[in-house]
Amino acid sequence: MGVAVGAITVLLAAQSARAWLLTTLQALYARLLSPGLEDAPTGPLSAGALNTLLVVTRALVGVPVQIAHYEDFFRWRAENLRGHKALYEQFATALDRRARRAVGDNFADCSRQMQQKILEELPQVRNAGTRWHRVRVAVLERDWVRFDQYIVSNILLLFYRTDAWTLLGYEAWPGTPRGLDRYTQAPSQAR
Amino acid sequence: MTESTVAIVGSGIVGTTMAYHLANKGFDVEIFEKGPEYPYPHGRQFREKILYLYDNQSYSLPKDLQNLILSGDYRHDLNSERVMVVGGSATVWQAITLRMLPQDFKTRTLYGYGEDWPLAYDDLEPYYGKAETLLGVSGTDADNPFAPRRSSPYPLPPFDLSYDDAIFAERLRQHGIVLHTTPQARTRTAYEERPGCMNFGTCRVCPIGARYSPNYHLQRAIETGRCKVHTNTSVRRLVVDRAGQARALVYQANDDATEREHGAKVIIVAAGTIESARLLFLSASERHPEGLGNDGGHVGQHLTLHHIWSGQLHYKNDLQPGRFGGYTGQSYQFLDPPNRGKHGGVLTQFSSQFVSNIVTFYDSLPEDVRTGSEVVEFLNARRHWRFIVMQAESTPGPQKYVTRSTQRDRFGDPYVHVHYEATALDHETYRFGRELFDRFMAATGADEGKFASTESFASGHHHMGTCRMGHGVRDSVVDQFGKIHGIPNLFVVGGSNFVSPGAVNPTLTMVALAIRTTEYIVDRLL
Repeated sequence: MGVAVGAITVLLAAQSARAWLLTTLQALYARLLSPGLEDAPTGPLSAGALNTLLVVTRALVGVPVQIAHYEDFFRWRAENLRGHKALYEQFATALDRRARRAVGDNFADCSRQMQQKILEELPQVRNAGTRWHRVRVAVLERDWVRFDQYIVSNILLLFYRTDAWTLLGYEAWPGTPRGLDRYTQAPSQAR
Repeated sequence: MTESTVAIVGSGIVGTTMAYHLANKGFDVEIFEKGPEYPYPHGRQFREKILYLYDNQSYSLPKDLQNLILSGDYRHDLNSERVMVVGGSATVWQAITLRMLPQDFKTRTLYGYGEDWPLAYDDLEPYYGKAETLLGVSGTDADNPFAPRRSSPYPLPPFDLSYDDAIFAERLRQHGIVLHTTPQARTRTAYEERPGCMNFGTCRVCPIGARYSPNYHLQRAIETGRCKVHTNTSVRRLVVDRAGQARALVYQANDDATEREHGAKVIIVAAGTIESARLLFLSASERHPEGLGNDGGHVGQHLTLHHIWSGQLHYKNDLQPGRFGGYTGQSYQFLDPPNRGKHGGVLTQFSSQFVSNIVTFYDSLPEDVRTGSEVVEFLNARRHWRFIVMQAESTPGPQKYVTRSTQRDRFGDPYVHVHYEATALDHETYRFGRELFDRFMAATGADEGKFASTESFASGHHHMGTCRMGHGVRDSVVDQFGKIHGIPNLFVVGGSNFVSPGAVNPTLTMVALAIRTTEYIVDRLL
């Protein structure tokens, strides 16, 4: 009887430990794939870094955009949110390094095609296939995971909420004062 | 101990409405708000959220201050539906301001479910008018043959149907369905010191104050010099003396170790449906061992949420939805359907936010969208879909309640446990909503439709009941003015007072009740 009780206790303890381990590993995995930013000070962006970010925006989006609100976006984030200035500067430096390795020029001086090619080839956790490969990318290419999460994704999201609307024929995008006359009338530029 | 004539717990739309009226009548008021300041007009929030994609966490409370335990059928984050900042949930609401129907106040008598309110539509009707004037509601009943009677006009003209809603309205009309304009607390033209709507379309963070926020009237209350707001302050319990009068509230700054007392001649709890019940539980004493107002066991009971199911309708033509930020088309036609009693009523609304919340709080891109052309393709596909919202009344039931939890906040006070299970009538209401969706789909010429599953309902942040009004301790917590039975100077006001929810958005009714109760307090107690 005592042996049976002991065996059950050990089994329950093992199950509990297993569950704890699984939960802990899952949490670590999630944190690995979504790294935070370093706690670096805010401040104005260098002209070079800002220029690179805007070049990235144009290359990533691939269509003409009103660049002013992207510039405003990067400036504000660098000057108001800790860690972003450092992130943007690191991103610009890393891109230049890649571009020089590929074609001997800084990123901003490359052709649009080469810029897009470099951006397409950036390490991405989501494209890494198996879980093991995702972990490998997240560990070995940790900076690129941050760049993707905090820069590339944000550029696309901002585009989604702004210029993409006018490209589809809307007179203006939400977030601008569109007035109360047009929304009751047939679209002027339906696609 | 500090003192004021009136102390109010909660700075949401109910608390600020009452504070504004009391301060303007010459009474000093102190408001105790658990959450932080929330700038108004919301230009800063607009810039952060919309222009800079920044979710500012300083407007949120940590989990050791704002939390609840949830069990049952409800699948969404109920805790995050409670917006605990100065101004409360109406700082981010959609501002749809609708009157309940007279029948909604008598569901037991007419349909055999729920309970009847201790007041009738006619008792509240004048206060609906005052509430509409206070909030600056733009609307008309000229296109809504199902609207309840009114004794005063809307203060502002309506927002016209959007281009796409007007097309739907005509198609629906041919099938005997009325789609009409939507009354809303959004300024169709400039009103008092609020500018007219400029259709930014980011209504949850309206940068100019066209969409009503309670902070508008709170600022004016403070300007009288007779209203003070304590922010980041938790009210931990209410104190009732031996004579049965509410004497004081005990409060504590969220980052302070010291409890303090504040006395008042009248105390008003306007902390929302869930937190108001919690405060009554926390105020248990020797004389009231189950909590204040709970001698009949009704505190925390009779919780209802609206059951909102969204459907999506696909149209071959591009109607360019989303060119107006608010809602324009809705239908009162099914609020009081012929078989009500077998199921509940349903409010139907077309959402102009063609990609739900695309520019507000919740929308993001799928991970596999990686280029500008993929973004455009994704957006282009979504704009052929229109969202249609079925907002259904739900019935109180024995498995819908708020009770004490064993888990505690940073002060050691128990959270609440919310348990919520849909009733059989709720499931019948879903089937009715589903039928309506099919009718709308066919009538508007959609070539495809998707409707939510029954268990996926969302509340729309509409939480009601828990301190319901009634005739006495045996059936309720408060009387028709929100006065707790047996405690003549303690009031609970807001959605918590609702006896039954009807299907329409509750806020206008809450404001009407608040104004009515304020007049009662001024006439009888001050």
